[in-house]
Amino acid sequence: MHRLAQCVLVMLALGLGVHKALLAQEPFSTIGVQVHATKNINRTHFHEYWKPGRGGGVTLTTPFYRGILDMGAIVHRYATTTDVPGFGVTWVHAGLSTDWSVSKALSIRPGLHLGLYRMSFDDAETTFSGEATESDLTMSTGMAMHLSITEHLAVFARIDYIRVHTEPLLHYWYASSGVAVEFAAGRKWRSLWE
Amino acid sequence: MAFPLGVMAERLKWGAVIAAVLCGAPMVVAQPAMQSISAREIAQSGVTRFSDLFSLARSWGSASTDGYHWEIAPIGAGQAEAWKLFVDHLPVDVKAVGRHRLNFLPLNVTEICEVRFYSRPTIIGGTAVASGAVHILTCNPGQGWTAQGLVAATNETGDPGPWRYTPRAGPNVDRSGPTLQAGVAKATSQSFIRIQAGTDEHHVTDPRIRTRVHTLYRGEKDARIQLRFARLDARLKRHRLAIALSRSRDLLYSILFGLEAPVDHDIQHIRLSGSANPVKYSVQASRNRISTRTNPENFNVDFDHGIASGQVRLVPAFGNPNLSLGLRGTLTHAGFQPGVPVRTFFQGRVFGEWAPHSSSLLNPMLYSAIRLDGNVPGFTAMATGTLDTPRIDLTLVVSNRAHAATKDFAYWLRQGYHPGMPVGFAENRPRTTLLSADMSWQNKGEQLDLHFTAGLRHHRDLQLLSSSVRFDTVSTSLLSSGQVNYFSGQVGHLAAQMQADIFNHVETVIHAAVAVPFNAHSEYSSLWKHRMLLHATANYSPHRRLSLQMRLRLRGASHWSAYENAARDGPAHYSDYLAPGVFVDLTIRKRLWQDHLDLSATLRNLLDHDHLHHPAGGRSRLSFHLRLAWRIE
Repeated sequence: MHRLAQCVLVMLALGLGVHKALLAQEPFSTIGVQVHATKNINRTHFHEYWKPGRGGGVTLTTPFYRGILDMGAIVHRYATTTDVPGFGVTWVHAGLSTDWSVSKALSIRPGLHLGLYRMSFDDAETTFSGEATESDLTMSTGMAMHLSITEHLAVFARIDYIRVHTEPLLHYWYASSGVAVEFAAGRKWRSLWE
Repeated sequence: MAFPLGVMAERLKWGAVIAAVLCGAPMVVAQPAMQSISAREIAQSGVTRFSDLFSLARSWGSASTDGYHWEIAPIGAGQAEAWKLFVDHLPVDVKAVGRHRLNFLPLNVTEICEVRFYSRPTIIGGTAVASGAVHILTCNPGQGWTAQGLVAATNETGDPGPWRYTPRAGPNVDRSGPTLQAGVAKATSQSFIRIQAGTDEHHVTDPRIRTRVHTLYRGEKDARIQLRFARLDARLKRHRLAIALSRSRDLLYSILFGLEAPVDHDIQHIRLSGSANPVKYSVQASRNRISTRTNPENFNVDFDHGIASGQVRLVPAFGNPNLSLGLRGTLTHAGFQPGVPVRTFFQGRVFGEWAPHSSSLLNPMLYSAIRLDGNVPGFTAMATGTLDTPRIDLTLVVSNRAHAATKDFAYWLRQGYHPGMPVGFAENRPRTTLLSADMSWQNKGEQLDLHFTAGLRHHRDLQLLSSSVRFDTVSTSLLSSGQVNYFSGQVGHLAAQMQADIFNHVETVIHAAVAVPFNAHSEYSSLWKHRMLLHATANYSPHRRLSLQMRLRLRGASHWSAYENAARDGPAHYSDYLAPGVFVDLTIRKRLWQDHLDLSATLRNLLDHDHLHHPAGGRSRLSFHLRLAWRIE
């Protein structure tokens, strides 16, 4: 069994265990918006061909029954270092995080995400399926550290491990930092999600 | 407007009851070994295609070469004879070369109220089904205007991604979808009209079969299967009309073809059914046509199958309400490749159902039919009995009928259909005989429900196609020849099921089934490819709009003797042994916007085990499925 699959199962089991505590919060009661800069920081065989550029992303968060639901998108580029084409990436993901408070201002949020890693290649040659883009499944796990500045404003730093299910697999570590704002959700937002 | 769960459940229930009344289904019939899958369970599983329903069927084995069409059959019952497909109590023909093309059924998944898997003999709409059936029941729309449908997409893992520009590049793999289904309905208390349409697409690019597929396929870069369909349903008081069309560009595999034939598959049917006391009637006509597309080898597998049928049942309103008598006639017209004479023949059947008593202790039911299939007389008799406490069901079947009754692939070969490969025939034996006995025992507790079934079947003169193949090293296809033979043998089957609510909010079902052919010719025994299946489902619903479902399917090993030579000469493309496999699927489902939207994400083959589903098929991979359904009233 792959380690990530094991990780998913373990997290689900943990999720069952903390059921009551997390159900205590009111789902969809707030909306959080996170804006952040992102960079791929690890080096693998992949990086012999491509060099990561800077990127950025936006994530929406809201309390969910068992934690925090977050949905986001990150865009960034890989420039070529050899004769292979460069490509742009749009990574769309959604998942669940939990919030562990360290102090009144500081909290840690581990999470699991599923997503799609959409690659748009620069050259004119199309992919096998006749398109210049390709999308592949991602499974990722990450850890964020939030420091509250005011009741509604926080700064955060996070690190994510991403596995893109190509053959061979792509393994990335992304580091991000940014600001997060949170405000009470309106009735329409709650009506939509409930 | 909100659509509360309780109202929906009530509506689904009454939709099924109305359909049953309209189409003349007997309301008191023992149903041993029937698995019912509700619309809620379908949504919770994230299923968007009919053939994917197999993953929910606990007692049905499955095989697929392309990951889109699945050959499914009940463990221990239906692999010798074809099982039957019904929609709203009437049979539907979506077959090609003897295999149901379930995905080509012109019907939206979101319109389904219930799917019933019968793995043992039963009676549906006056038809005795000895070898299993899948019965799909559609919903009646709620009053007023309703719009509903779904959009779904699949991402198969294992693509090369950016690696394709490097020396580490591997081949591409399947891409599936998008799937789009939409429908709109207007209903009053006594009538409705509903229009549905849908499209679907699947790419067939697995490296194991890619070269073979491209032997005949011409067109776009990717070899793909495409589907379009439309359907109109209407009801006025106690009369119901359905008109449906589907057109697909298919890649049709058969061991006798030895490769995927590019074909256009057109399915058309029209049906009218209803009741006017004490008579219940149905009239339907259908056409199922396969036209081979232009290909470099002029390979031709054309097949045109038309059916017109009518059925009348008399259900007296006086005396015993569980007595019914019926008459059914079917005219079949079959055209094959150019130059082969057209075949036309008539089938007639007189049948009766009688439930003499209806006490809480014992509920017997007798069914018998005298039939004529292409000038060959035959009969079917079935008796069921049900004891209420403890719940014990017994079903006995005796059948002696013409091969024309099944109209399977071997039958059409004997009628003149020729797939281009040499086929020999044993001396004709006009009838096949089936003796079958099934028993089930059920103990229903507050938290634990136990269910055991056991059965035995004897076949005599079963008409079968035996194939032998050689491997073509250039095209990686098979060079096949066949022989239509008659075999006799026995098969026994056992199944056990445990359903429990062990934890709060968690429903668990564990089911195991095994089939053992014995005292039979090896060709007969080899029909039971899948002999062991373990199925476990755990459904966790912490909130009524949120569910998490995990399904585990443990498939036993299977031997496919017909592929022995091909596996020896082309092991990269064929195998004659499928190792045991464990498949785990995980679905999370959330209903949104006060139940107007239904969003699910499914990971299939979560363990990413690299299994074969068919000796001539591709490998399974982890895949990700997104499904968004809507319903607006």
